[in-house]
Amino acid sequence: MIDLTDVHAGYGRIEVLRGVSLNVPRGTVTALLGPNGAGKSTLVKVLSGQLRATSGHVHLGGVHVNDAAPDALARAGLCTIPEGRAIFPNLTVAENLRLMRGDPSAVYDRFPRLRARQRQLAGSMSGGEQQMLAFSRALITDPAVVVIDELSMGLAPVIVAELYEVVRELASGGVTMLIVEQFAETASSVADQVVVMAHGEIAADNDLASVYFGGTS
Amino acid sequence: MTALLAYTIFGLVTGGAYAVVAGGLVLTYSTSKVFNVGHGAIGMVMAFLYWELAENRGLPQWLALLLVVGVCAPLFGLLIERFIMRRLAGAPVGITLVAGVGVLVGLIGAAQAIWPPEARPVRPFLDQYGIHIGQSFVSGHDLVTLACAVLVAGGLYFLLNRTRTGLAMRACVDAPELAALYGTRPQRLSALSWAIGSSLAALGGILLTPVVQLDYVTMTLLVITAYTAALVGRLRSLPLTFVGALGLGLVQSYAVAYLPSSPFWISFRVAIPALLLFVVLLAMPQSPLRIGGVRGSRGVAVPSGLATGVGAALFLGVVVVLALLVDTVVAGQLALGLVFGIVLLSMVLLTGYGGVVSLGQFTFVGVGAVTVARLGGSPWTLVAGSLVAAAIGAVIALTALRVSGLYLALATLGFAQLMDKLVLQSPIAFGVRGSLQVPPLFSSSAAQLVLAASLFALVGAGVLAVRRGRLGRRMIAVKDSSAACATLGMNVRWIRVWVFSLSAAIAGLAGGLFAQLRETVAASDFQLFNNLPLLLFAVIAGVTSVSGAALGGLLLMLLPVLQSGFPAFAGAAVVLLGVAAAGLARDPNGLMSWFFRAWSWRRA
Amino acid sequence: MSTLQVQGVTVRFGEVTAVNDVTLSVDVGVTGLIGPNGAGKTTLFDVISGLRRPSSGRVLLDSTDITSRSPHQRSRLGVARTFQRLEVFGSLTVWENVVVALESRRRPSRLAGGLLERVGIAEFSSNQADTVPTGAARLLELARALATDPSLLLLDEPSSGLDRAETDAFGALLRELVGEGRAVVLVEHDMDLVMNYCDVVHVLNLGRLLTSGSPEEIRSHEGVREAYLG
Repeated sequence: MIDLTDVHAGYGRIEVLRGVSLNVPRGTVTALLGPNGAGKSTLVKVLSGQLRATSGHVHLGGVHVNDAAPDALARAGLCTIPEGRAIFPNLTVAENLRLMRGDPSAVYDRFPRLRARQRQLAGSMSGGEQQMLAFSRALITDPAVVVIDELSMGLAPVIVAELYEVVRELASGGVTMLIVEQFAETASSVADQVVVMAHGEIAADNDLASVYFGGTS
Repeated sequence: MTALLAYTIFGLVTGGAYAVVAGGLVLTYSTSKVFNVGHGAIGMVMAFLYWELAENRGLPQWLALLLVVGVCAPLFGLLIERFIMRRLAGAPVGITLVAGVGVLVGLIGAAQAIWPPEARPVRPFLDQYGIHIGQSFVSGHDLVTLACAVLVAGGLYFLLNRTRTGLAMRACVDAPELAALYGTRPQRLSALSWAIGSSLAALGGILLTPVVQLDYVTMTLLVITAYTAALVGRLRSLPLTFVGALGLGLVQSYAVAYLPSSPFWISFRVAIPALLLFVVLLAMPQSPLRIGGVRGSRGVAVPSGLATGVGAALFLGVVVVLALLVDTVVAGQLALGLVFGIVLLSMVLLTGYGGVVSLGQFTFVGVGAVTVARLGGSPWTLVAGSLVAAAIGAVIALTALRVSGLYLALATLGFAQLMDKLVLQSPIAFGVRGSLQVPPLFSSSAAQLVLAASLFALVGAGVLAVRRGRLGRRMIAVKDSSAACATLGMNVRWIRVWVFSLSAAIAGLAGGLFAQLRETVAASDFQLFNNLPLLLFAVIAGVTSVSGAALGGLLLMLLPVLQSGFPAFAGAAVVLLGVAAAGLARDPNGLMSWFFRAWSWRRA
Repeated sequence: MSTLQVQGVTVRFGEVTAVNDVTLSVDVGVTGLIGPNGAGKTTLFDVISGLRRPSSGRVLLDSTDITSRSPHQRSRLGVARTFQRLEVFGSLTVWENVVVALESRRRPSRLAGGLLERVGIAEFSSNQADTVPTGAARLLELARALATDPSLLLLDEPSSGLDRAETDAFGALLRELVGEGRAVVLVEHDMDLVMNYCDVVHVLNLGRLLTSGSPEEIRSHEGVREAYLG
């Protein structure tokens, strides 16, 4: 479903991705792990159409999408949740949900805390609640592919567990997912495939501990 | 009590019209992140178009209004968005500002070409109606204006809060990249906001015509008022913008009512929007040091000291030969061109190297001119003029440099207007309609030309020496990363103050030269509007090189000559200037760098 | 007496607490500052270098309270840093970048060549700085920071963009800098580098100081593995 072949990309003359090939089969979950600066977020940007690959090919569902605009990809069923708080802080919770074009009641049932905060500005909620709101888009827009960058960054373990519960539900519903994470264990436990990135390349050795602690552990 | 009520109503009415204009400005800025300096000019041109349809062609007022506000203005907004602003998406503030100034100047040129100066009365709306509130009379036009303000406020509120499109627009303001990931179409939204913004500029302009008369520049600069209102809302909040606009209308109205009517206070009233603009900007929080990402720009090659010397000698040689060959009139014009060239050198320093866009550089020229004129015009007074300009530049820098980018450029605009109305037009300077005589340093035009050329060569060499030296490196370092500069031990603020006052000193020197060359100078020579072609020529000719400054100066000198020589093309020349600047805004190295590139290609 | 003392520093951005009551001290030597993304490392650097005022807490340099000093004043007291997201002066040449830093501390510009030589990017000397590869730009930031002759050097992810050989050369340079009596703080994700060259390692997680210790202690610390590996 997601198919990257020898993708190079970067900013100006700075090359961040140095020939990345990755395949996420339809209806499966892939966890992409790796340290900061490995190029994970850059890869997400290339996938979502925010950054053009300088060479190589990006296919989504068999369609060549190297030159597609992010908004066109989004309308075609790609749900990208970028790193950080992917919500509109100066819109209310209800407005954020309205922008997603889905049925908000499904979200309120899943995350009752959001129902209570409907009329509140999204930016005034806690980090965990903001991430729930951002994540709601995967839940209600019926996407074909979901790409999430740093789902659990800076969140308390309880919230992370709650979010991963939803990841499991989506996965069992047959949504193709790419989850980019630093927290390895949780992501690995839901993933059909674990891929580790380092220095702009897919690491040959799929052991995250060796990437972090230099194999001596 | 009756008077207070009358003035309050009048203030609310003008404030309402400002609110309409400012609302459009905020809408476009917040959805496209391009601050449209030409917003007022759009309103001006559309008001002229309305006059054409309603008064000249005799269409019913309502039909004309509908055609202009509902069809022509939005179409025009779409055109500007599609062909100018979309290409500038994500560009630095300086570039979008120059493009906006290009639109502004081009529109003024177009208006002058299509509608040559003459009195153009515009009938108010519903002038046969009106109501009495107490003893005050509120005319039908006033009621229409208020109704429009209310409708626009309500309409914008409905659009932004009750419709999907409006919601998407607000989302784009918050986080444009994320909005695209949500599937909203940013370009479509931006086009829509330009269409609506342009419509509102037109509506505001038409509503204001009975109050301010149809005039190219006055109407265009009315937007300073709209800028101020928009800044009250920090360029984001529509409700605050409306409050700001109504407040401004009231303040202006009360100022007319209750301030004394001596010449100073009359000027003061005109300067109120600019003054408030300055106050609002200074009340803004200090801009944080920007962190993140490498920024750099490719300037033209900087010649070595030796090459500079040789170049200067060659240049002077050519000028001396020219001075012997050409007649008095041409020599005088060339001298003027080189004096303008010195003004542009001050912008090479400030804008080209320092990255600060100033919309008030001509004001420092005026300060230099006044000083020289008041001190009697000996050679030493040129130095005095330069020093006074530098001192004022330093004061401005210390107050205004807490803000940066767009806000700083607007602050210089406000400063130019303030200086024009409160200082240059005051009795200590030129007086309102007054002018000053200055004895020339040389009676022969040829000698004047050589003097201007010598000083141009001297200042040009000085600017290049600055670029090669310590201060030049620091200026560019501050432009590229102020955060890194601060952590390397530089006091970023002082460097900015230095650059600003050095640049003002050069402009002041040019002002002195200008005064003694012209022999008669008046406040109107240095009014706010003159800054705009200056900026455009700087960008077109190249704001990063000394040769660009020389070329720009000569072009600036030629503009009025061409206009008086070929009146038919007067407007067209200005339109061309605006279009060229809007097109060239991307490359600050300008035409001169093209010549250099063509040259090095031929040598290769 | 420690070179740098951070006492109870807290930084809040609205509702979010990026750094939460962190206290640590830094001595001559290499100090590692590690932790997952969003742990507050760069924010702490911003506080130490003066680019950000803490919501509460103090920063002391050689026992002097510098909490309210501006960044340029701190630089004159011997603090220098590099940036995670590069901040080289893109319009200037590599050589000019270093000269600007030397001049700001009134040191002779002839030292620039030697500094570029030292970090290993002399070959790029006359290139415009926004055209050099990331690794070289990081080393340029290091050379520029060294040009101010700092006693406290804050390096934010210096090794990202460097290849293996360059990273080793960088490690050797770190030892030299310590030999000259400087305190170096390293925010780094390359654990080899941290484990091999740091004398002390502080671990931040979710804005809090999780633990401090020698590289061996950190390596075997359960909480650290958990923070990183989930």
